[in-house]
Amino acid sequence: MLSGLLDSIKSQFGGKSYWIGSMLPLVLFLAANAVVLRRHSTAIATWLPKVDTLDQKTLLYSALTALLLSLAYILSIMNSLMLEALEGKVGPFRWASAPLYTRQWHSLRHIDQKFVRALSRRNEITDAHKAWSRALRRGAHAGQARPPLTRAQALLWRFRAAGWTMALIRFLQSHGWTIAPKLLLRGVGLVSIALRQNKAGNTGPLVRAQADLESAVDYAISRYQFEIRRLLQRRQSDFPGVRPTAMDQPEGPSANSILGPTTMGNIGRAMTTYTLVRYQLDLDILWTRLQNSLQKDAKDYYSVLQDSKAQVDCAVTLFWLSLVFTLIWPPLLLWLYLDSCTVFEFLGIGIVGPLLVGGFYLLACQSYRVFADVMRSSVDLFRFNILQALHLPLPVGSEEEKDLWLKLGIAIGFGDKEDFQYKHSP
Amino acid sequence: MRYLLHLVCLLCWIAFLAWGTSRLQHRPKAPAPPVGPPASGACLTPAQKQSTPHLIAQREMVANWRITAADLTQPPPAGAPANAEFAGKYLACKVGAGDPVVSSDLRSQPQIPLTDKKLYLLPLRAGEETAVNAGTRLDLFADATANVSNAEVMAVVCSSRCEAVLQLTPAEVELLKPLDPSKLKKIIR
Repeated sequence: MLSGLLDSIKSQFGGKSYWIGSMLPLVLFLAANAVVLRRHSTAIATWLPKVDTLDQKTLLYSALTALLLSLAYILSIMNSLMLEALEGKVGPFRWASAPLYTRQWHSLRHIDQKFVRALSRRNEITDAHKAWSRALRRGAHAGQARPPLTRAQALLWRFRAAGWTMALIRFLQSHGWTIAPKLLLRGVGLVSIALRQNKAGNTGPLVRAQADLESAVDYAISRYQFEIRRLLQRRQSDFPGVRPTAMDQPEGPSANSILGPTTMGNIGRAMTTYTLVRYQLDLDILWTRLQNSLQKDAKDYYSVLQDSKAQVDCAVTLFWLSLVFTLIWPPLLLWLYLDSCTVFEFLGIGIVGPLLVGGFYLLACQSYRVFADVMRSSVDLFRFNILQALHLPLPVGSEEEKDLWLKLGIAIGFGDKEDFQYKHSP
Repeated sequence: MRYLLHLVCLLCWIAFLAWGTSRLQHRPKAPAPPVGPPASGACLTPAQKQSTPHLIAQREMVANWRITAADLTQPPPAGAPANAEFAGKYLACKVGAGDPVVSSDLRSQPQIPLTDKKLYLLPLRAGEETAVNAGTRLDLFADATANVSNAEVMAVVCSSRCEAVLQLTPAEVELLKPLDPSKLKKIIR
């Protein structure tokens, strides 16, 4: 629903979104087709050089330009349909929604599992942090009376269990990877035993191991914290609803966490569920009202929104046109131009085409993420403008605000009877 | 299971590409386009021509050369065709100076290969056909500066009068259109 309404963000014919979102992909598509056709179709190959010598070339150029402008306009009208098709609401991705949904469900479950694991590991390390520091200090203190490592022992240190465990910990840290609490625990145990058996001194492998281990414990906590934030952000931007273990669960059954069949679909749903979960504000119902407020009161912000939408349209159109090109040309080359087609050309289109399609899909997802974030921010920043435009009083607190948006959504969207007190400016 | 659909699509696409590649590699080969003259069979080598009645070329001559009696001489032994039998005909193959010329090297009309250039008929004044022949290059002047430079003569055809067949670009033909071809001055390169 919302992706269809988003079409209203575009400016009119001839605007930025028309040129970037429709004309540019169309010109690239036609150019790619002309290149292939020129190689194989003798009619096109002989006609193209003659165009310049035709008597009525001005008329021809005008007709071609008009045709190009019209095609681009039709394409711009189809932008919302193409976006919905990519979200899996209509078309081929909807037909294959069951297996596609499975992948999305697995991805979401994977993120949730990783989040829970990262959280428990961070807590495990944080809880044990002080005990590990104490164990290392005690070990070092107990080893003060013992002889230091001999030269041979120092050389062979890395081949001992404590030595290679520390090498592994250093390796993980130096590559920016997470360090499991079990490995740290093993490292603390082995190094503290080694510290008890030999005096650490000021230099040598023992003192380095102690210092590196303490640093690795700090690093592991930060790294898991970073992982938790990354997973939270990814979940928020790429999937609808909130994670199952979250504290801010909506009360009772909620449709917020139902997945879409594609990544694009889930990014789109994440946009609407964000406002539903936080404010009970239904963008499907209230978006056009918010858009009106943005156009009036936040022109600069609205142009940012338009730019983001133009980028989404461009990537989505490029995806569909490159898919059409890739699916049409290889069979056509075998069917119509078998004599003139080379293996290199056939495989070139067959291999580069799908790579381009995949690349444009990733690009579309990325630009849709940016656009969704701009949309979410517009709700965060300008939602009260809707209330002002409707002559409704601003809510005092966040709970009262949720009730208000819920009532307003029900009243406007579904026609239920709700009572509002208006506030008219003098 | 997670990537089942993606995997199925990928395997189908790979199978299609493999089938297409195999089809392209095993397609029937198209006949090679004919490259220049001659129309009837390949050119004979000088050694092959020695055994048949022949004349000797006085100069190097390219394909579509219009032969005159002065271009050929009789070989020492008797039994060779008369020079007049070959005169006015066109060479199908390139012949070097001193090489034998046999009747199978000749044809009655020139054969000019098709290119993206245009053909232009340039009238020759009486006697000019002895100096201009296939392979000659001309500069054409309507006034002080050359309107067309380095135009290649593809052949010379003669009926009541002789004309040189030039191969020109469409732009050069456009330049010559308003001019009277019989008044053009020719410089042989």
